[in-house]
Amino acid sequence: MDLQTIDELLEKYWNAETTPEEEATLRQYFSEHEVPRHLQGVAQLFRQYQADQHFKKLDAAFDDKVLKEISSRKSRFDWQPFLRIAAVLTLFLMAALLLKQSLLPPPETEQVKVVQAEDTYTDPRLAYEQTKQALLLVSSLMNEGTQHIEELEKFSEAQETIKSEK
Amino acid sequence: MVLEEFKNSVLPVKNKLYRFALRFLGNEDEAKDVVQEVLIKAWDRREEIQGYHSIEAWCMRLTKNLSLNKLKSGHYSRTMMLEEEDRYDSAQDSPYTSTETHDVLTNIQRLLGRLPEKQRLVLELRDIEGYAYQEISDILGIDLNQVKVNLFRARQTLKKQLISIDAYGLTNNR
Repeated sequence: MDLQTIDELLEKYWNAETTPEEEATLRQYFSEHEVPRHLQGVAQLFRQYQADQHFKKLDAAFDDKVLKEISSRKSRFDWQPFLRIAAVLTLFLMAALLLKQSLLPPPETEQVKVVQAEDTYTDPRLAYEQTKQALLLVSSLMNEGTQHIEELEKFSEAQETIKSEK
Repeated sequence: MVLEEFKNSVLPVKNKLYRFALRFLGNEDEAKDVVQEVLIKAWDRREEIQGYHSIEAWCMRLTKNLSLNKLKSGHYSRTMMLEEEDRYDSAQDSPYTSTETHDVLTNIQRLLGRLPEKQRLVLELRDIEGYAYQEISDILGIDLNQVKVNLFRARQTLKKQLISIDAYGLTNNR
C-alpha cells in the first residue's frame, strides 16, 4: 500500500469519515510496516489500540468461575419443579375461589326469604299479632338471660366482700 | 438458550465487556466482578434476551449501568486508573523495548485519558472494539448524531496532539 493512500485514508480518519474496513486497513498498515517519521505518532496511536485489545483480557479461570456459577443456578432454577408449584398453587386458588363462591350466596338467598316472608301476611292485624308474639318471645328470653346475670352479680358481690375483708 | 449456545455466543463477548467496565472503573477486580454479574444476569434472563436484536449491545449497556452504579456507590475512587496504567506499562514485551516507545505509549494513554469522557468512550468503542455508529448509539444511549460529533471531536483533538508530539520530537526528530 503506497504512502499517499495511507495519508488520504488518515485524513478521512481524522474527519471521522472512514468506514470500518478503511479503519481496519489503517490498523493493519501500522501494525505491519515501518512508518515514515511524520507518521510515528499516529502509528503509536493505532498500536496502542491493538495493545489494548491484546492485553486487557479475561482468562479461562474467569470462564470456569462464571460457568460454575451458571450451572449451579441452572439446577436451582430448573423449570419443572417451578411449574409444578405453580400448578398446585393454581389448583389451591381455584378451590378457594369455588369455596368462596359456594359460601357467599346463602346470605343473599336468606335476605330474599325475609322479603318473601313479609309478603306472606296480607292481613296487617295478623302481622301485628305475630310480630308482638315474636317480640314477647325475645323479651322473655332476654329476661331469662338477665336472671342468670343477676346470679352472676351475686357471685361477683361475694368476691368483692371477700376482697374487702382481706 | 442452552449452555452450549451461551458459551458460543455470549461468553466470547467477555473481553469487550471487561475493557468497557475497565474504562469506567479503572480497576481490574471491580471490572471483573461487573462482567461476571452481567454474564450471570444474561444467563438468568436468557429466554427474554434471546429475541433481542443484539445480545452483545444489551450486555454492553448492562455493563455500563452496573459500572456507573458501582462508581456511584463510591467505595473506591478512579485514582486506581493510574495504578492500572503503570501495571499495564510494565506488561509490555520486554525491558529492551525502547524507552522511546514506552514514553509514547504512556503519552497516548494520557492523551486518551484527557479527552472528555463521552468522546473517549465513543472513540474507544469505535477504534478499539470496532463497533458501528448505530451500535455505539445503542450502547451509550445517545443519538447517532452525537456519536458522529463526539468521534469527530475526539479524533481532531488527537490529530492536533499527535502532531504536536511529533513537532516537539517526542517520538523522533524529523
